[in-house]
Amino acid sequence: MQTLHHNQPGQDCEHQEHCEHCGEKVIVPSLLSLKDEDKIFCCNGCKTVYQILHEKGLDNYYKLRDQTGTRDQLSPVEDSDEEYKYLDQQEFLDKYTKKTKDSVTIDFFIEGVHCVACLWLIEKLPDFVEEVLHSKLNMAKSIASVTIGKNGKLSKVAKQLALLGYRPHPILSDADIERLAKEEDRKMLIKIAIAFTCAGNIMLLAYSVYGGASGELARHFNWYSFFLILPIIFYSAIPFYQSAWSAIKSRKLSIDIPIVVALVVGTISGLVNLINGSEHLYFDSLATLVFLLLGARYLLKKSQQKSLNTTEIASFFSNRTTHRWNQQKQQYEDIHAQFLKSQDIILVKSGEMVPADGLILDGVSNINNSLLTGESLPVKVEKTDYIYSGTTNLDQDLKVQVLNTGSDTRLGKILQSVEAGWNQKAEIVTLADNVARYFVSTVFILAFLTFIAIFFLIGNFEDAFTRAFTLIIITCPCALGLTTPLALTMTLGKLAKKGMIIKNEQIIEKLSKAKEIFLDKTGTLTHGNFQVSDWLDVDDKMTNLAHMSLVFALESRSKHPIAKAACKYIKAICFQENQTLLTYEITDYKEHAGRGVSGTINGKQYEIRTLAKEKNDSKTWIALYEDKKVISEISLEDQLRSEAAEVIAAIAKMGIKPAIVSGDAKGPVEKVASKLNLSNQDYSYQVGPEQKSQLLDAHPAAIMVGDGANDAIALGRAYVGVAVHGSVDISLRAADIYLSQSGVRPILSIIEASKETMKVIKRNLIISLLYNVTGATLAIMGYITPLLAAVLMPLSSFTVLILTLASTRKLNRIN
Amino acid sequence: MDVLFFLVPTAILVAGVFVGLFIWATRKGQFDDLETPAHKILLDDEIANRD
Repeated sequence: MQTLHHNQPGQDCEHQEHCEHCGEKVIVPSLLSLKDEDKIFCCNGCKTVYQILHEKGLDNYYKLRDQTGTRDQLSPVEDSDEEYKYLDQQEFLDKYTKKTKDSVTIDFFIEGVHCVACLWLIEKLPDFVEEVLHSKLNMAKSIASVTIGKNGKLSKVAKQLALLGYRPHPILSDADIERLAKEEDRKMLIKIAIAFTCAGNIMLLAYSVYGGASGELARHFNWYSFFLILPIIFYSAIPFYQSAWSAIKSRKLSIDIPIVVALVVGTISGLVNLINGSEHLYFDSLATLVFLLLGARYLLKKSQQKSLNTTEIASFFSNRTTHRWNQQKQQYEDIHAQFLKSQDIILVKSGEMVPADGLILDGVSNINNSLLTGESLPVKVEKTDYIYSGTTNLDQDLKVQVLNTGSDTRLGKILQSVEAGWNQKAEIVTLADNVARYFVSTVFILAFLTFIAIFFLIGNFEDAFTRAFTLIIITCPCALGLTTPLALTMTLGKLAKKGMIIKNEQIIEKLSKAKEIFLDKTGTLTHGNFQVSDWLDVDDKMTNLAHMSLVFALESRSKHPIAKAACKYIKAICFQENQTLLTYEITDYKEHAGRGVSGTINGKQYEIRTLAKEKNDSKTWIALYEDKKVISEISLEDQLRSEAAEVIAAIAKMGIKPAIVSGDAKGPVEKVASKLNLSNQDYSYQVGPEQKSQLLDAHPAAIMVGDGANDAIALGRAYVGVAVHGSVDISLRAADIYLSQSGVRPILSIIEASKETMKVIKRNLIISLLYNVTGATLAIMGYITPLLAAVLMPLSSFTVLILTLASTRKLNRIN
Repeated sequence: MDVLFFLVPTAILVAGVFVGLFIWATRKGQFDDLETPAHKILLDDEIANRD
């Protein structure tokens, strides 16, 4: 009995090749033979992309990509059979595209865009896909606008994009909302421009007065300053008035209130002083204040726009081609899944995702339910069984009668309840909110007291007023208003670049406050697919190579996940040990749906099916039978990710208690838990979606990490929901955070990043408070002149700004 | 220094002209996408010119 290959291939590092296209380590190679050399790729997808680029003379892509040094951000291209035929359907075109006399334009959300080379390639579409007239990519949103001529087929364009590794999703953006958002953005930009122009010019004039200009000239300059601040007061500062008014209406003390008070009081008193000939004018400080605050808010808004909004995401759902039976034409036609209606008859081909809930009319096959229930093993289905949208049909085509579509499907209902639950999700009172409240009330009380005190102590109205007023100006929460949004924005941006998409800034603070973390097992802690873990050749009559070759010959025709796992493993071993498989001719090959395969080779009858003998570990055992005798035993399991133990330990060290929550059976869950050193209390198995959300309700400070629809409700209910590498569309609708890179490490990264960010924010808040205390003291004592105010305010803002920028550099080191 | 009485208002007017141009450019949508053009400068002329 030989026991071989306990390690996963690729773990012994001698024979390491890297994929020519994406740079990943090659475990199971795809080879391309070119004239001068053989190129190695990690998968068929990458190989195809390379081939296409090479044939069309677009190798420049690689040059550009290497120049901009973003090679390490690529991931392997996924193979897909999706034909995108639904894009050519009239119904679809009417709804999703804009038409002119000679052309059709559509917007696609493109997955996988991250560098100049991608931009170059996508905008070069007209050069190598016929009928494409124009292609424009917006890198911030990853939305490409493609225009084709009358005779063009969108399906061809989409297929080409997908082949290159840029999976396209047609999006239907609400034209009105989009237009309004754009208008608002532009107006904001104009307000900032006006604020900047006026502030800059006022400063020039003010400084010349500080510098010694006097008499008639100074008077003129001061009046110019007044007129220059009017555009700011009446136009640029409008957002502040609106926000302060709504804060007052809802009885909140926001930092916009002192700003508005300062602006109004400052301008009026400035005008009064101007007429009286006094030099107590603060137009420059006020103008700069408005400019800086508007600028910071604009930047924050812009960075939030880097992810899709909910209307755009809503159109993601079920972007799939379905084959519907057309009674009149007596054939199946390809349409977009959203046009299905109840009682339609459809064909769900093997490998396709089921587009709607329905009843099987004909066919026998296996279904992968993991998206819906979390089960990793395929389930056999046949005539009169029900199947649900979101699951994947594995082996054979099924004829199905549609019962429920869209939001009436089980999946649709889950998503709806998730989104309904969004409104109930508690909004935390952020640190910034708390500080703002105390700050504002303190400042006003202090100003009032100063006024009273000085008035009674010195008796001079003007003096008292000036001191109170300068107090308000100098403590103006410029730094306060800047530091928090800035730090949060930078973190959001940096994480988004690394594929960790966070929906809004509040989540960062929530992450840093979390006390527990619940992780789903399948797909999150484990790879989510079968991998061969043990291979035992029971007899010594043939070489291991012969055994593997037999298994490969039989399993290579099956699409069952176990078959695929076995073949992948065999190919990897051969690559590693530089062996070539023997080929065999099979007669009467038969696949027994869900049970195995069989065939005759060289006169002997071979079968591969579940091992008859029971082994009491939680692995799945299959065996190669020769004439009814076992000659090889192969075990498969969903393997734990190699970095999982390390990451879990690190998370625990940060004070967040980890636990596993899984829908899978006791055995596999226990095994994973023990490997991760988790105690008895910290794992649960066979947990259904309902129970998962109940669990999260009981733990109000917990992070939930999961994927797919089976976790959607839980993700929506959790304090923070993290969706892991899974389907983009569903995950984004349910969770607060979406991690597009697979693996557990990103989870650690976002937690580290959030804690670091909060540290930076707290530090900056303390520094700006120090500034304010100093400034307040000086103001009360009457030392603040317009000059000093004009100097101190930008100074405090800029120091805080620079500090924030410098501190967030540390974030770069978190990978 | 009397010339300043003339120069300063003129300067402000010139600034106004530029603000006007900025507003025009914004309305035309030139500032809608600030990220993509930044990347485009790295590309060869043949691509940039075509747009």
